Amino acid sequence: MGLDSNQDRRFSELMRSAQDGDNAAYEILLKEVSAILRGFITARIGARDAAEDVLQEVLLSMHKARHSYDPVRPFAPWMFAIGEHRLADHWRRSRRLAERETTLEDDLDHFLAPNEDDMGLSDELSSALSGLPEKQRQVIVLLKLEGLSIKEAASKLGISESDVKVSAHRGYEALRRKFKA
Amino acid sequence: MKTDDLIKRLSDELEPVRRLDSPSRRALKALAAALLCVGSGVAIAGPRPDLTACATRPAFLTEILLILFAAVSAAVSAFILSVPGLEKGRWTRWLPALPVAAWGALLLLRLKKDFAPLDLDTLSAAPGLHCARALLIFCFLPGLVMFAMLRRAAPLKLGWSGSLAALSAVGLAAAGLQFCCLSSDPAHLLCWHFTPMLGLVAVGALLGQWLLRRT
Repeated sequence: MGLDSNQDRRFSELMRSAQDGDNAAYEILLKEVSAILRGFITARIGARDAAEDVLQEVLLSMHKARHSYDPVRPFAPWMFAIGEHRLADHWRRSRRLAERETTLEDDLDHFLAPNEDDMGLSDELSSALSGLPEKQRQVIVLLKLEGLSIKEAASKLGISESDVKVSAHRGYEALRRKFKA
Repeated sequence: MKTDDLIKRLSDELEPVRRLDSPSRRALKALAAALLCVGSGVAIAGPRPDLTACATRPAFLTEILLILFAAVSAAVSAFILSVPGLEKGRWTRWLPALPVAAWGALLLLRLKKDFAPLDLDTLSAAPGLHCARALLIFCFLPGLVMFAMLRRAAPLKLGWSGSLAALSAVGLAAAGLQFCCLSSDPAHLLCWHFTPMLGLVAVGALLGQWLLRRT
């Protein structure tokens, strides 16, 4: 994890200009570091969509923290420290989301499980589903009723896998709130 | 949003920024401000009458030096942590804990040496509460200054930054308190100076999560 000294010096110079308000230098810097950070993040996460989300978070963090970079110091440790930090945030969020999704999915499976009296969707569930925003409803129907995988649902709806996960999660939460009310 | 669009937006919105001073320079500024506040507090509260005699006692001087070392190293560490990638190793975070632990150990040793059954009435006496309150008052402004300066930076480890900022402010306050507290009793110091200091450091860690800006 690092940059060669020429590249580091170049980024350092570009950031110095950006700190002074040079928009063009900043755009070049962000484009060039994006390519490096994309590889760095994808190597650790794997999933391209999620990696792109994290990359954007890293770029936003770098933007917010740009005043903290000291041009006399190397650029790589500053940039990768922010990258590592955002990755750690991503892992923490994913873990929390996975834990909550398991519970929510169990609840939803319970609602969707056919029983002897009712082989279709209950009126209550149909009405709850129809009250959801379109994307969340479609995602839940594809994942839970049609049994598609996240990847399949993503390609059918033409959205990213992480978007499917987020929509499903929000949909589950909305259903849970509705049924608990 | 696509990454290229984000880059375009960020570079279009770019405004010049003022670079942060080096951590040591910021620590010096914060410590100078804190010294001024604590010094004023000590002057208002009035120094202890036996201060000259205390100044010749090795235990008193060692304690003051340990507390000051903790405060100064905590300030430097907090400002190092406020710049991404500047921390060279975990020792940066843990170094200020050493003088704190040494002060605690010194007090325990003195307590063991002059062992007498603990008198709860003495421990819970009003002067003790007065010391804890003075500690809080002395550290309030220095703490505010530290947190305000850290908020301007870009700390990534918010809890650590908050606790180090608190240790720096409370450490200086505790050092100041040594100059005006009438008691040198280790039990009193342990109970009303040392323990509240640790408590305030823990509060600092929580405040760090809440008050410092997420980068």
